[in-house]
Amino acid sequence: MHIEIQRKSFGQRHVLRDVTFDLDPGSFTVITGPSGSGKTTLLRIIAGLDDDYAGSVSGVGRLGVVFQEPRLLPWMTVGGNIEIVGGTAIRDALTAVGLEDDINTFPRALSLGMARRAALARALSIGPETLLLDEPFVSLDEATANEMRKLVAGLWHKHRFTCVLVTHAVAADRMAAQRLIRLEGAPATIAEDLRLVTSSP
Amino acid sequence: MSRWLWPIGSLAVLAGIWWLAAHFAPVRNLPPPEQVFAVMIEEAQSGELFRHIAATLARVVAAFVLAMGIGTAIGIFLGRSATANRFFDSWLIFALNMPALVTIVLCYVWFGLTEAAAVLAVAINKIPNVAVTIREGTRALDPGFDEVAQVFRIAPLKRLTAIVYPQLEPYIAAAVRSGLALIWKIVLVVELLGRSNGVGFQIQLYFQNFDIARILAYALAFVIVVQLIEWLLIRPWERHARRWRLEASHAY
Repeated sequence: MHIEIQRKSFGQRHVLRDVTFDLDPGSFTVITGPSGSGKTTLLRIIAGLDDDYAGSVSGVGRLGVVFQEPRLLPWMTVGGNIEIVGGTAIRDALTAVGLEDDINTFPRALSLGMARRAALARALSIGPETLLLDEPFVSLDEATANEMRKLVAGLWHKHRFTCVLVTHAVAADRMAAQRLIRLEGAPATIAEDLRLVTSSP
Repeated sequence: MSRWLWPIGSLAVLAGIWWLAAHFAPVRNLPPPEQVFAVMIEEAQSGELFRHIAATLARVVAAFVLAMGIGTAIGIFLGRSATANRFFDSWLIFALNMPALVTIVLCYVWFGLTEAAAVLAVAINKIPNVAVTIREGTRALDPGFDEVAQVFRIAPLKRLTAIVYPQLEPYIAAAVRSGLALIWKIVLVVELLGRSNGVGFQIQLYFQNFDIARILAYALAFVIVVQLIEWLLIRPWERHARRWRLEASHAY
């Protein structure tokens, strides 16, 4: 995957400049930086949700996204939310995240942690080549967050999609990451690009 | 049980006041309720009542479907495009304030005293209301769900039915509810001015004979029909549409 952003602005505010990097297929990358450093903006550009920038993104392939707010459609059951995106093997996808009993549950009856897992199941159900996660552990209690971290790392080991995780809390969230990209400055650019050595869980 | 007791009790009180007024108050030409109901039964037995109600109902349904369809399309368009909305907003205000009577007369003048002109006149009166309501609903659509549809490449038709429609449903329900109330009243005027059947035509006929009992019988019969539509069609549909809101045990 090749990402090349020469410039991204919101009106007068210049938020990203010269953010260029390649990601190996099947790799696990953490993107971090202080709040307001354009992490989410970068993720949205990779996801194709923002095309108002100078540069290009290629090689994303089939894409799954876990948004910070789970964004499950509240008028559909958890199973329906997977079906609508064209997900296959709905029950397997839910079993993989421990929600096999909630296929007929409406999203409002889920806790935030469960809703995030349902959103993860939705993203995985389409067999993504690239999985983008935006702060997937934020606002969860420590135990739930740790469980979710293990889940994401385990699923990545199993399916080997290209995983890009955006987080402000890199110490806790680096997990299985092989690479860490830190954005900083105004406009933000790559301040640090580290290859990490991690042991398998 | 009190759910039924209240409306029935209050209607009984209304009928009582009517009965008292008809028998004891110095009101001219107010037939008592028993006379109106007797006339209603008479008209029903002859089949006239049902024939005219059916004619009116058919016009109501045709105008309603037309107004909802066109009004919803315009509302979504204006809600999505700020430029189009800036341009067409004054047209909409103009249309909203156009008296129903003028639209009806002009439709009859331009398109003749035809069924199509009658239905069109009614629909035109309702379209701006639907458009304004649906425009509000479209503005309230959650862009987050739009992005989900975009990321997961949900097909346009499926987006409309599975993502846009459920969010618009409360607004559509509001338009349906106010639409039914408004449309049948305008249909009566349209019938009075240029049709030879329907409740409005009958009311005009009995107005010429000063037959107040029959005027009230027809009006009342149609109010009952509209209430039945409300209870048997609109409320169950609304309940179905809202069931996911009720399933909530808590929200985050």
